Amino acid sequence: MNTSADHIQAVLESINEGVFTVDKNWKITYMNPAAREMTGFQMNESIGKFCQGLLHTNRCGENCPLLQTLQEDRALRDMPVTITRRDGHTLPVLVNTAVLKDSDGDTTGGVVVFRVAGGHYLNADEFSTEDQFEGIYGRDRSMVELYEMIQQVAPLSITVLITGESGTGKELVANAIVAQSEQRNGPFVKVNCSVLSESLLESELFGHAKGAFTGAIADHAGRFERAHGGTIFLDEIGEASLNVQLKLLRVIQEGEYERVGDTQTRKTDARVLAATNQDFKKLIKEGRFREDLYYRLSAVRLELPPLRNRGGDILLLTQLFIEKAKLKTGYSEASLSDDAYDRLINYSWPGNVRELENAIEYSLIRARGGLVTAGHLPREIQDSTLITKSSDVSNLSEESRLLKALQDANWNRSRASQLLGVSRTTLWRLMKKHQFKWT
Amino acid sequence: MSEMIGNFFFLNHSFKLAVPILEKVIAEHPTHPKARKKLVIAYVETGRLRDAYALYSDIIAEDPSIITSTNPDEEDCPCPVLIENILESGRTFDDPANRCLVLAIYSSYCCLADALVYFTRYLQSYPNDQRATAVIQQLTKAGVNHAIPQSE
Repeated sequence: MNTSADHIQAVLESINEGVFTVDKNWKITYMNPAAREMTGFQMNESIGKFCQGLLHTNRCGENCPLLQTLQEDRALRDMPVTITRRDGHTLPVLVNTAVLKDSDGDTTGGVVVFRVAGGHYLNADEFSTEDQFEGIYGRDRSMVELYEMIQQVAPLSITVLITGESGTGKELVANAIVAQSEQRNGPFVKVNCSVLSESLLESELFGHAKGAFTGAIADHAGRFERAHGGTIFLDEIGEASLNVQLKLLRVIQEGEYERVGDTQTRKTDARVLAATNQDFKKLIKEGRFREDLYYRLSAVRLELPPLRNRGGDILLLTQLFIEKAKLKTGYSEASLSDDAYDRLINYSWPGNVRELENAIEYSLIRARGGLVTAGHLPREIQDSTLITKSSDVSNLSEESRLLKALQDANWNRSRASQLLGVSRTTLWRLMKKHQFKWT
Repeated sequence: MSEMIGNFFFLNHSFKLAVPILEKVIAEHPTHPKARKKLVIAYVETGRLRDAYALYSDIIAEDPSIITSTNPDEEDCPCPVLIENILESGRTFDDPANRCLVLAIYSSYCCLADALVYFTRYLQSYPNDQRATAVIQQLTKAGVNHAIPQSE
């Protein structure tokens, strides 16, 4: 392992994202193990084949993401695509694309990187198309109403605020709006407002001029600039500072902004989608969120129901996540016992769909691919009867639950987020909220 | 970059979109063999038979193998399908001789014997067509004997 090519090969072979490359004749020249697993095609079935002849997607033909990249000469990020696997099952993925060039700058082909969107594998034999909408799974009345709302607002090019508890799938709703919108072939840029400091967020959103601050060694286009002609998704917008909120209000109202350190006014027609799990009215009352921005954002508001209010969807999602975990872990014979199902249905799911998905995967691994019993479930789900008896406990004990998860995980953030059934971003936000600091 | 986009539209039989892109590639690389032989087909399918014939004749005069060495499977050449469309769907031509010309051009990508027969038939309608005469000579020189086409 002493050449850069070997290193790159090792990286490609080890990552969870699917990667394949095509030459300029659109023949597949490489497919990494993750891509082979997600598509179901082996190396000898794919190399040298025309990609359209092998990988069937809902965007093949003139909506091909890689074609768009070539035509616009820019990489695409997180474009929602549904691929049909070798076994006939469909798989919603998010696709990134880029052009490959040789040392002379001549195009030699393209690279497609993809990962599962929302983590749902749909087995056509077991689930009907009525069970899902643009990669969101659920058939509860509240979800059907949500799908109808998405279909109504998606073509309108208006700002949409997506609200819901952590883990309910706000990003999936944003993906669905884009997939149903006029801007579906345009860029789709996502920004998580909670993970960047105020100055970094401002620079990321609007760009900066060379010399605007220490380290600004070149002009930098912001996310709004990159989203021109498409959509920008502002996740966790409640975390943005009042200064950034003021600039967001202007760009949403006027479509105008300036790069940090620059006086030139720029224009963007990017459609804005925003999401939050926070109570805006409370934030406004506390002076942490601009009321005018709230009203501008919430002209159309889509609220995702928490999993505990989605009745039979827990069973449907459990079945889906079992299928996904089987593929991911290789435990193809795994199944859930009745007592495990009972525990899952009785649990209050404070971490919502994400927590359910993590719990299923954790349990399959603990059961080593055999029958998953209640004893294999995460501890808090095993104790679900006690938790659900007092609805106030979960609110009161958030800090102690966080502390316990961090201690159990030996302060490993990834592990702690798994134990809590929340994303690393949410864990970070919770730690900030409860003033936990690394020492 | 243009070549890859042109290849995409050509593979998708979006010939109208492929033409300007392949023309751009050839403007930049006048001897580009793959782009030229694709443009011949794209011209025919967009109703520019005279342009196709002129370009095709030039290629054959330079090197017939650019066309005749085409591997229809490897290159996903549309000619077998396009020939089938003409023979079975009864696609009509203003001038019946042009039907022979199109079949002759397409056949030379995948079956030289058929191509020579169609060119000979075309020549019967236009005996003074020097291009057709030259093409037949070049293709014959390429080592092919006349044969009755299998398809008719």
